[in-house]
Amino acid sequence: MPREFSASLGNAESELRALWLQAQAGDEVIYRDVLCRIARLLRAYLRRRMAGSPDEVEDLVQECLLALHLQRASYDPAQPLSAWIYAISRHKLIDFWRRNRRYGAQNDPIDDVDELLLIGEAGDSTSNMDLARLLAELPDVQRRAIELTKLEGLSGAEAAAQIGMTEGAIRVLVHRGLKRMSQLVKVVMK
Amino acid sequence: MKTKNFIDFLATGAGPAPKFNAALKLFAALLAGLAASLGIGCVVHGITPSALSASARWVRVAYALSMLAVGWVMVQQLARPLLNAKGARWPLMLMVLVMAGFGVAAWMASPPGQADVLFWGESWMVSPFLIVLYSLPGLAAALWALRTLAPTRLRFAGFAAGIFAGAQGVLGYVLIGPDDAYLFVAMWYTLGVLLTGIIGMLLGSKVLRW
Repeated sequence: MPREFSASLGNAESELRALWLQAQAGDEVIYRDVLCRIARLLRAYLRRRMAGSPDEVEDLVQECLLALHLQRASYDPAQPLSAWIYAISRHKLIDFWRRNRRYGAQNDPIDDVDELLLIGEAGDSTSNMDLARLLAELPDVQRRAIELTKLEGLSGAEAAAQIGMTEGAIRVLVHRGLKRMSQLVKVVMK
Repeated sequence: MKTKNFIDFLATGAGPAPKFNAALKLFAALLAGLAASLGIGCVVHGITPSALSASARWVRVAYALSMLAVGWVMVQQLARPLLNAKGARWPLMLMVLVMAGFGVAAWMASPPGQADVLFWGESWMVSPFLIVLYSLPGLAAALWALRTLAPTRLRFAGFAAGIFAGAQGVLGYVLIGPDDAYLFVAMWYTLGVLLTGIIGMLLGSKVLRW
């Protein structure tokens, strides 16, 4: 495992994992916090490996976060959390390299990056992702479900009442919409 | 977009994580693959009681079932994000070796000059390919199931799906396969399952991306 995940985690693995399990159980405040911590790890990991395209590091950080969110059911509590995160981000990184083959040569992992650059990062880095543009590409019901629950912050029950569907149906729409978005970021945001 | 805002977007209304239903989806794929494979076998062979009588047939069934079990464990593991997936390599090889061991033992015990019959049988040219054909519906179903899950080792996951489906194919092919020598099974049946695994591996890196 790369050192961004092993060395910097160390004891933090158990702490991160405990938080993650609470987030899995439905605690949104903790989920937000733990995603911010993970974003920092991802940034350090990806920056080293995307030296040829620094402008796209944050894009990929967010793509990885979206993938983690979409696949969070697949985390097996018997396994280390860092291994799971690393498996998914590695998968996304390989996918990125495949899409950007022409940059491949410039994206060799580098090890002499200023460490301060890697860690001293607040959570306000910006990507090229444009949420409004992505949402515009979604089918109407999926967009509506996402807007109500994720942008306007309605509860599942409230959103269900507004659209006239069951809560379960709303959840499925939101999930499908996010999944569609994760496909779209690869094409629309280029 | 700021990552902080994106995280807010993801976390808002996230609720508890859904259940990971790999076992259910893969079980559905298994039923579909078995129905297809046994269906083809019954249609080609006709359903006769004699089809199930010979004891040597049960050895082949047992071989297929043990491969199916290993394939099941492999696809279950590989349906999740994994870093390294070497887990089931040894059971798989061990099984082939045990079958080959039976084959060699039977050959040693047979009268001299029998080796050709035991090894080539009468259907070595078609057996592996028919097994692949019998396995294709199961392979499609297993890959479909994996596509909805979260494999990150795509080629290996495809290979596992191929072994899983290949074992289902053997279960149907046993109904019509005329050769039952252990040596024959260890060589040509294994080759059929392996070919399905390789097809799965080649398809995996294409169709399992997410």
